[in-house]
Amino acid sequence: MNDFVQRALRAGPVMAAVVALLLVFLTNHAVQELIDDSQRVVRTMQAREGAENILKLLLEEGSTRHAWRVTGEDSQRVLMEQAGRAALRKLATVRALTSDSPVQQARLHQLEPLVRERLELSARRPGPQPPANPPPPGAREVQLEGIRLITEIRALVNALVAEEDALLAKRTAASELSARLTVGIIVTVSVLGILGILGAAGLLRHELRVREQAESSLRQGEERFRGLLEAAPDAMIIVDGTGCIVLVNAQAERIFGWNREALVGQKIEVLVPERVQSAHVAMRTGYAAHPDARAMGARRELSARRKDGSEFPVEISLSPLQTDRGQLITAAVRDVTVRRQADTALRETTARFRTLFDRAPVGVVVIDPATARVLECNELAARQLGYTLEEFTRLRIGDFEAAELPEQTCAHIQKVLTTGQDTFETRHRTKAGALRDVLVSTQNIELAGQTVFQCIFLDITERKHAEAAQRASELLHHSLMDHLPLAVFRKDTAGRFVYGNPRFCEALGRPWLEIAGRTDAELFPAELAAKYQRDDARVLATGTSLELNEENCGTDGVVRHVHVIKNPVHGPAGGIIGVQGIFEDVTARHRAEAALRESERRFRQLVHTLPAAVYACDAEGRITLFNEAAVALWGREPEIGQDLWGGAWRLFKPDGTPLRPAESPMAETLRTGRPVRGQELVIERPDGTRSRVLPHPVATRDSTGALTGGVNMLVDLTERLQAEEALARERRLLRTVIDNLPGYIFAKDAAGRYTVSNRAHVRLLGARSEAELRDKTVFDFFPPETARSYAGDDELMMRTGQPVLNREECVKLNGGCTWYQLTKVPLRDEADGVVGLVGIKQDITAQKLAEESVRQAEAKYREIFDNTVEGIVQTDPSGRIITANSTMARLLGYDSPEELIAACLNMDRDVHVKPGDRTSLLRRARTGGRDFIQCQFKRRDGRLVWVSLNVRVVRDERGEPRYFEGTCVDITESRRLEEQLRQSQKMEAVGQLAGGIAHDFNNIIGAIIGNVDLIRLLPGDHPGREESLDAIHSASRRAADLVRQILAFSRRQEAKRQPMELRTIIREVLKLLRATIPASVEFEVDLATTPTVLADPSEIHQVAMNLCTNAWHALPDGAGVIRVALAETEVDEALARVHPDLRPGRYVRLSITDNGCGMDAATLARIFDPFFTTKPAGQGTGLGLAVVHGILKNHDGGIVVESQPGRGTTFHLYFPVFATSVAEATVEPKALPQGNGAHILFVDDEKPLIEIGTTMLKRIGYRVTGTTNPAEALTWFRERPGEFALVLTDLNMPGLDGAALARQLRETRPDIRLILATGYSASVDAAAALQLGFSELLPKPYDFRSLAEAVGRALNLETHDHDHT
Amino acid sequence: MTMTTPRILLADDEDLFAVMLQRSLAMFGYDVVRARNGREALAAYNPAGFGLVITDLIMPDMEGVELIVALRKVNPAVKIIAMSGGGRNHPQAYLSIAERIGAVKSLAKPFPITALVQAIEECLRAAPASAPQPPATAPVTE
Repeated sequence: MNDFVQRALRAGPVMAAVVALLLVFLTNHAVQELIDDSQRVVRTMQAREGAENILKLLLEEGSTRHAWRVTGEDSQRVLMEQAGRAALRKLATVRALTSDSPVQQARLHQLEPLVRERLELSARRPGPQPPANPPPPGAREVQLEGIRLITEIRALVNALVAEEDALLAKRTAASELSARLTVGIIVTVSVLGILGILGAAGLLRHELRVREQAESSLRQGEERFRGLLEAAPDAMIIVDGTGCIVLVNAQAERIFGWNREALVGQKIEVLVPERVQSAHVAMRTGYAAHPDARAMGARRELSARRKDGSEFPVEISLSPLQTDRGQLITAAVRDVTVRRQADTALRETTARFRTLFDRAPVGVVVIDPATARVLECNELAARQLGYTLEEFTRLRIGDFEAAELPEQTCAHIQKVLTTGQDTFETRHRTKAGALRDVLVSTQNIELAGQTVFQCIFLDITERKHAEAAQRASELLHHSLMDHLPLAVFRKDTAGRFVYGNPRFCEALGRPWLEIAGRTDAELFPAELAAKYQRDDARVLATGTSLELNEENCGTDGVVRHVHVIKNPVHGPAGGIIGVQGIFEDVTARHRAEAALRESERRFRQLVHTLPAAVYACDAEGRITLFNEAAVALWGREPEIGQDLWGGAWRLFKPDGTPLRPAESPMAETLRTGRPVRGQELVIERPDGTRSRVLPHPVATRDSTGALTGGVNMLVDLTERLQAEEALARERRLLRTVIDNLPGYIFAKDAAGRYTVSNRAHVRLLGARSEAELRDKTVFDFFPPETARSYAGDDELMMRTGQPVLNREECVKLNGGCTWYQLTKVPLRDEADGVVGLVGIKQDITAQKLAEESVRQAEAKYREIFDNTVEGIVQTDPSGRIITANSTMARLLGYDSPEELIAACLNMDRDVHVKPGDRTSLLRRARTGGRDFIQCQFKRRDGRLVWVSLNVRVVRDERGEPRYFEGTCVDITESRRLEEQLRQSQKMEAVGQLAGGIAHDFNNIIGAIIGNVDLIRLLPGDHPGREESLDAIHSASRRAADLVRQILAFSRRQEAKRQPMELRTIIREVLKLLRATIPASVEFEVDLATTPTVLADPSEIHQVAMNLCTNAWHALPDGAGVIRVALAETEVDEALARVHPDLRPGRYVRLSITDNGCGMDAATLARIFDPFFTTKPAGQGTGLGLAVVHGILKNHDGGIVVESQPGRGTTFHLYFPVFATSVAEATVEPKALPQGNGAHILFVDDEKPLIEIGTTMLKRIGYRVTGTTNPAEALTWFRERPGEFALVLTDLNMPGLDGAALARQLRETRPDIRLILATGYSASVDAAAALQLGFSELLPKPYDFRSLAEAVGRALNLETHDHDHT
Repeated sequence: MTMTTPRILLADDEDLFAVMLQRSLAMFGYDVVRARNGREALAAYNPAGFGLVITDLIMPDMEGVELIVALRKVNPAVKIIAMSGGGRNHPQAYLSIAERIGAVKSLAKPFPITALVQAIEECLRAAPASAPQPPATAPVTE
């Protein structure tokens, strides 16, 4: 094992060393690889760079040479030469670096002559020279040669570099790989080394552990041996062949009194008494010759000697021990002094026990179980059975054993044999043959090496007798207790239950086992237990009995009544040892008693609360009981036991004669024992009032049938009599009512027989009295057919209970027809069964005739109403349609008037297109009673129709409008014609104007073109250019104005009236006319400031244009004066009367006067007729004035024409004043509004407009971002919605138009300000722009001012008064 | 070199156009006197003072046609260029009328200034010996 350890110890370091070496080697190798690779990479890079440098240096050489040649400076030459040399050096370096690549070497080989050639060429080139000199001949060739060389060199260098690049990539990869490999190797080897060292160390540790284990087990063996020796209970002495002591143990030292050191080496005889020392030597020698192991105790007594010389008895055992030192003898010596002393004591004890045995107070018998014989016995045992000692010792068990079953005896013997003892009762027979009860205790003992039974007999006959008596008494007691109907218990003084009979356990609801030993506190609720314990304490303290009636609430919640007697229990010594209780559950009895009491109470209550008077008398008639009703009836309270036969104050017979109480029905019943029935009485009360009663006296008898008294109930008849009277009254009333009702009223029973008929019905049926009808049916009065029909109805109603309600029927009689309305309802009994019917029939002939005539009248008018060509409609003041005819319904797009009314239209909201129309119409109608209007209605399908609507007010009794009746005619078609006329007339005017406009335009355009030419001609700094630009600008503005005017004139759109000043539009008209009408026509213009009127500018334009043109045409030879005047005027009653279009009030009057030919009255009367014209055919449509008239009418205005032939004509146009004059806009131009730095997004698809607009707005202080792409604008805006304060957009743009853009911008930011710029003011007006979400509409083309103002307004900026610079 | 600048009488009611013409012709070295209508022009005209009359046709207070007629009464040899932005119905008709009644040239507005200058030169050159020489820079056409 040591070897292995050594090996292991050696192996560890060796392994470590090997691993370390390996590690160093491998790592070194890998690192070297890595370094090599890296160096290769570096070399490649250097080579690459070097190659590039060659080229660079050559180029540098060239450029410095050039510099030298131009400047002539020497420094340049030096640089040049340096570069050339450096290039050659670089070449050498590259060659060295790429020595491992034959390809590169070949390239370099090729490169070198080229480089040299180039350098030589360069050197051949001329030196510095002045630039003016022409280049020397051949220089060009040299230069070309140089370029060619450089090109070739560049190609080669590029190839070199490419090769090196490839190499570099490869080498870099290789270097990376080897680096990774190196790391891997280092890691692997390290791991291996560590594992090796760890393994060696583990092996070594294992070996050391094994060795330690071996050594320790050896040590343990020796220690164990020593321990054994020392722990041996006997003295151990080992001697050698010569009798010398070799080894002794501690016991030997102790018993011999020698020290171990002193003893070892001495002869063994030193421990032997001197007297046997010599014999011992001989014996020892003999033993040595025949050594065998001898056990202790088998030899005679031996003695040993202590150091002090005293002797003591010993036992010795010997055993030989063969060792390498020869034979040794081991002797174990035991000191037996104590045992010897014990033996002696035993003998003395035995003698003493013998005496005890013989004189014991119980019978003691020793029996040999093998023979069943008595071996020994004491005297008492023999005497108990009447034997002498000698006689008894001759007996066998069977001679005296008299167990009832012999098997029992055998079993006892068996038990003693197996378990060693048994105690049992049995019977022994005496010598005289008497049987005694005996308690036997048998023990199996060893006696002188023999197993015997030692039996102790105890005579228990007397005790047995006593026990039997006791048991019988107890049985009786238990039987009594178990069957006693009372619960019995007993507790000790501590309150613990010591007995409870079954009834008790039952009462507690627990088995006895659960009760035994427990106290009240453990068994009952705390309160109850406390009470019981108090009672017990009283009994224990006083020693007297206690009788109690308890009322306990059990755990089941039922109250139990218990009768308890508790008394003290006396012990044998006379002291109280507990409490005994007997109790009985008397709940049932209690309940019966309570029930009886309750029944009696109820009975009394019943009697007392009976609504009828009840009283009772005893057999003698003395009153014993009466109730409250009786007291009330009598008006007094009788005295119990005193009043006889009742408590009435006085009695009368129904006929009023007095009646003695002794003759009363009660008295008679008591006399005869039979009830009396039907004998009414009148009772008078002490206060004199009387009641009529019906007594019901009945005799009462006891169980034997003997009369014990009587009970009487007095039924008060007063109320019944009153009720009967009331009923009769009601019948009379009812009879009167039905007799006098206007209809025919009857009732029938189930069989259809008349039971009741009123007078009218009796007459109808032709009878004289109701009695005649009784028991008769319809068949008795009506033709069979009618009767059958009635009977059929009745039968159906009897069966189903279905009433006939308001059925109208016609009875033909004498050629005439009588109409009846019949109602029949079933008559039901209490059980809801139909027992008859009640009918009422009315003559409705007159009513029928009236209805019929109304119906016919209605139909007639309905016919007219429905078929008239005018729509008729009735509306209530709120505008709801009440009635309408079919024409009206069709007009509004409904199929029928019903459908129209069901649509719940409101005229104001759903029908009138213009909101104010109805209101103003009704207002006028209210004052005049009726009025009319031409207005538009909206049809169901959304189409609009023009109608002429006449309205009449229908008033209620207070004069308030109840509803409005309107008739209307669809004038859409005629309106359309009119519209067409107006348009064609307008086109005529346009045609006339076109020339004039063209003239104006040509002037403007001429000015523009001329100015542009001027600008071109003028030099850049000429002030005239600025002047021309201004001229162009104002020419353009004029052109824009002109276009606006034309648009305004020719725009074909619905009238849009707005508050305006006529002056403005008249000026425009005059301007336009001036361009058209020859200068020979003079205009006199007098335009006063007037209040605003509600007017459509384009229509006013048209009117003014038309009238002025007419005036011009009226001038003879196209020359004359046209006067245009505008003034405010008052229309008085007189004028209003003559001209129905006008009403008294304030008007603005436009007068157009010519001094032309004038008109005669006949012409004047027709001028407003359409197609009436004074002009030659083809020169006019004749529509002008008709249209003018229509327009004026639409403006609620009027025309007054004054004309005299040869003197001229004046047209006065009246427009109602809308508001008082507005201050005319000041001519002074306001300062341009200044910007506030707000950021404006400018969108227009025309780039120039963006440029101009952006420039303009920036000039007055805005920040502007412009784009031609609306989508881009939207993107910008969405990215930064908060950035822009305003977006100005064109309307028509490709892709995303202005409206759509505005919508999306608003979605992103609802409060963004928007301006719409549009060139087509016709398609978008201000209102539409607002609806699209634009706050401003900027018509194109716009100038600086209108743009600035629109932006300022949109941003709510104040217009500054001061000029900007 | 110095040369006599022919004075031209210009009659046009259109400020914008007239001012432009005045300035442009000044550029070409003409001395232009302006009248606002026919009446003014007639008052201003004297045969010695003006080598040429340029008149618009539609003007208030004596139209161009009237003016032409009136001028020819004063000086039958008067050289007149008529121009017009067109009339009520047949714009060209006015100009042909003008030519018929004595205008040497007629121009429909708008026209390039060079056309006018050319017309002026033609008029002046067609004149008898007293007519001034055209300026050196004028394009030569014959």
